[in-house]
Amino acid sequence: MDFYKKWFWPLLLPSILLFGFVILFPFVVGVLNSFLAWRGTYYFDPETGIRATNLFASFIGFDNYANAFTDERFIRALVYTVQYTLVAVVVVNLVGLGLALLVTRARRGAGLFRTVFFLPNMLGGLALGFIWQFIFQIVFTDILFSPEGLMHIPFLRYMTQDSTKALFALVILNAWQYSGYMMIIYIAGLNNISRDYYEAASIDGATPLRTFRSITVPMLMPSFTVVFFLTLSNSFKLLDQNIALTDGEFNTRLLAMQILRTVKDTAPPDYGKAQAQAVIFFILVASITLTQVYVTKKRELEL
Amino acid sequence: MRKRIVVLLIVLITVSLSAFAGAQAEADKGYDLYIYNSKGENAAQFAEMAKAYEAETGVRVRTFSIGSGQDHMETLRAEMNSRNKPSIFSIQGVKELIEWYQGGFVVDFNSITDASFKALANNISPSLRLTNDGKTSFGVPYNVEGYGYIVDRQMIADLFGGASVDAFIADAKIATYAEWEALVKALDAYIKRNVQATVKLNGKAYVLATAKTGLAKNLNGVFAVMGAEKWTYGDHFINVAVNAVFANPNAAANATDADVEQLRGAFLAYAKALDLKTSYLAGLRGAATRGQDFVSSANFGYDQAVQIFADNKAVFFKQGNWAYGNIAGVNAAQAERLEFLPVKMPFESADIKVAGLTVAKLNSSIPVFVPNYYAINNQVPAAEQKLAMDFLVWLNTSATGKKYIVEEFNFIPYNADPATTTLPNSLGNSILDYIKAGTIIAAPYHGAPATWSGDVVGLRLMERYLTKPNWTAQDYKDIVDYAVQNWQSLN
Amino acid sequence: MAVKPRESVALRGDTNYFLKKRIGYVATYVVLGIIALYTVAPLWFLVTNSLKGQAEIIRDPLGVPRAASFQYIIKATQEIHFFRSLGITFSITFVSVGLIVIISSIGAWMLVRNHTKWSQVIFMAFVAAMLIPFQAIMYPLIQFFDTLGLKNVTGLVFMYGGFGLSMSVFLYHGFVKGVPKGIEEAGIIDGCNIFQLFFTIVLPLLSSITVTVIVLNSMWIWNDYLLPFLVIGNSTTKTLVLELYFARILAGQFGNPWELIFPAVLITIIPIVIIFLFLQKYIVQGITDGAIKS
Repeated sequence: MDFYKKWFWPLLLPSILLFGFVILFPFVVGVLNSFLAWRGTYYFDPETGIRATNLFASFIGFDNYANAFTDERFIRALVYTVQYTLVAVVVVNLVGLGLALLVTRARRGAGLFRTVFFLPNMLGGLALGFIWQFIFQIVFTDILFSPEGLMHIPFLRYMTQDSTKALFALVILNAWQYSGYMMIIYIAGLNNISRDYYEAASIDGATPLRTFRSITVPMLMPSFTVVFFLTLSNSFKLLDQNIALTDGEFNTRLLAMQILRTVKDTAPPDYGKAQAQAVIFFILVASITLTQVYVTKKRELEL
Repeated sequence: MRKRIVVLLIVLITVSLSAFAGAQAEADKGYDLYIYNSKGENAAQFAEMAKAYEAETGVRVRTFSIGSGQDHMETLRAEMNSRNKPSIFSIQGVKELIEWYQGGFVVDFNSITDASFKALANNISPSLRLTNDGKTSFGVPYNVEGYGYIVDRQMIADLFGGASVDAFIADAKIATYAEWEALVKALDAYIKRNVQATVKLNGKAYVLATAKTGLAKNLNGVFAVMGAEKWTYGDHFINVAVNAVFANPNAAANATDADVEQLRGAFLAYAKALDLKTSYLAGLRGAATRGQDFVSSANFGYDQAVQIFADNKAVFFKQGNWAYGNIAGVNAAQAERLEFLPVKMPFESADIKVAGLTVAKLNSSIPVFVPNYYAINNQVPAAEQKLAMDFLVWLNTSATGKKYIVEEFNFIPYNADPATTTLPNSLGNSILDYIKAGTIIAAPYHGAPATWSGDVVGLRLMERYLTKPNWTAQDYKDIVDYAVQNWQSLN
Repeated sequence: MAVKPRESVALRGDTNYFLKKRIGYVATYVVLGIIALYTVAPLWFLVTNSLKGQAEIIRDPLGVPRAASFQYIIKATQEIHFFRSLGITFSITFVSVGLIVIISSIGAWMLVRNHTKWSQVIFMAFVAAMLIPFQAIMYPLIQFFDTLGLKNVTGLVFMYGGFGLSMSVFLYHGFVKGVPKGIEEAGIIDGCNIFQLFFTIVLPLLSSITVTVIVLNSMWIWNDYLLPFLVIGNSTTKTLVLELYFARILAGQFGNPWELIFPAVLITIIPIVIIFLFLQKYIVQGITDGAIKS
């Protein structure tokens, strides 16, 4: 025991230093900045109308938070993010699970399909966002779903030009990009389920649907926990695709972009307000993911 | 075996780390003067110019250029926070000035004693100065730019006969809005239904050719418009109307709510002129109408509109002289034949609040303004500030500096004498003609609240109105209300 | 074993069983095929448009290139300084991931082997940090590193080290718990020092989760845009993604230079596609392990 004890601090020091320098210290400074009239390159003094000579002169209490909550754009981004997350979590999960079930059914070529479905995940969001913008604006709008096209579906045209449609456009893009990843996790979960259960069910004459509900779903609970955690936090923090697809136009800003753009909405740039929004964002992300992990873990245990 | 892997890893890490050290040595301070340029399009030429300066003076210049897109301010702030701050940086108008003024990053030229720089600063025309109160001066202009309806002389020749081109352009410049509207409608009928008509400009008659010849055969609409680019109608088009009430950005920046109310008449004229312009659209694949498609950047983005105009599918294209390069890239021959016509709006005399301005003057002028200024950083040592001043004097007064501005950057120099200067591009020369004639207005929309013109009014128009086929009197009124109320609430 | 259920059903005399099964398989493949086409379609547009000029992309974006030309790809390669930026991206990813692996594995090991109040607090802090959005710390972080003189590639590597730490410590922590202490004790008795013990006995036992840590961290570091932009955005050493971004904005103030964007995107993703195809097995294994076993 003593052998490990004397090495505890020396060996942990690099992690603690790195953590302190990169995460903890900037985070604390960030929270402090959310109480100051911070302008990015200087601290503003509301009294003099120019650069503050000391930090206390720039202290404005909870003004940045109050400003954030009275900012129409912030509230809209908040609501939009919640809506997007709800749809995205459901869709990405269903598609991921569906793909996993299909791929595990296929005897030949399963590896090939798995590779193809996973591939988009390896590629960066910004670059692919540009390509998808091109697809929504040209392929969907002018070719596939136009009145002269394959099928006339007005909802699938001009998807980047309306906040509701753009939400689904983002979901389509992210389902395309992340379903393969979730599929991998579900496949592993499915492979972990012992064949014996299915045999027993089959002997009892259970319908496939019944088998799925009574065996597959409960046994996949650990996979659900992981996939929910990943999709939830990914959707909540989504940024690159949002920028590339609509750039926030037509009221399509998600929270991460709203924080980035706050400094562009204001002149001089209100970094203090952006920082306050980021702190609110942190509290939201933390409480939602923790609740989710708690709830699904609890369900896992109950089963 | 495992030990060997560990050793190998350690060696690889050491090698990579020393590679970084090498990379960093490169970025070390090996210069005397650091210029931050936010006009990224001329990055290569800008760097060349810095080399030429070094060759002449021995001062080592480091340039950093970034596109004028959305991130240049973010990067500049990062540079201002860093230990190696730029000595010269760019400011794009009054909107950006406030931040650098509050933060104490700008030098007021009035406080400078250096004789040669003082002479340069004093020579900047008062209307072109970067100022927050009319007295201060914080920037040396990069250049001047202007915009209006671009028209191809050959197109006019094919439509109205080769002999009348000069007269047509001269008369079109001073034509009234009613005449302009009649011209647009006649052209539309001619393009779509071959209706041959006679139009009047400045009271003089011009007859459309009986049969479409030459370039006219390609036409499918009157205007090439970039519906997806909200800055074209939010910033530049509405600026013409703002000119009716505010003579310069400062007047707009210091406007009270009551002053902003005064804009209603001018904004009504703006809404009507925008309605006209967007009712007779040319498209990549045939005539277009307002609707969802018109705000799609895949069909009516910047490149597409340039393409429409360069393919001779439209008669008029509202853009600035900066579009010269884009047009030349698609149709080099056409780029040599371009001229500007003024943007006209149905103003009433009562709409004009600027002393000395008339409807006729406003409708025959084009906006000419400074898009970008060089500012001297107050936070670098005095010696570096001195180097910055010397450089700016050299750039704007020496033969080499001027050559770069005109020939390499394709700029219109802010200190050009229009009587003696000829530029190597048609649109630049057209702007010089307006400067010579004195028919220019300013860019007071720069003084409006930061996001008002583009992200508020422009966005609203794009989302609500450019997608709507027919505009009613109520729509005009709503546009006016929205523009006025948002200016007031953002203030 | 696997044949059993089929037998049992067949024994019940369901003659349509095999036919149904067959139709089921065909349907599975049809659906899979359609989804696979849908998945690769965007990449197909990327490839075809990389061979066209600007005018053709705008006029006929979906068509097969009329006169396919590699000139745009070659031009894009020069424009984004492909080989230089590839090397830089690779070095940054390699060193950052190496740093993360060593520091977090040894840290997690120490956290598990010392069960004290401190070890719990530190572990909780690491885990909680996973929930901090990047936006909440980016501005102070950049300013702080600049004051330290680390607004450069070295600083970038440290930042990645810090950001990658939380998740990696979390993953290793779960795994170290599964390493039987007896093996280590045997090592101690044999006279190993702490480093010998860790590198020759413990780390090899953690190799499967190490693959996971390497895969997950490499993927985001390679594709990351915002952090390199803020840290080394204005230096001559740029990552692939940064080069792509700057090529796009330097090419023109307005409009999209598609004849540059498409081929540039194409060549930036080619290395990662190749790496993926070669290391597929490990990548998939790594993700699975990370998701399931922790």
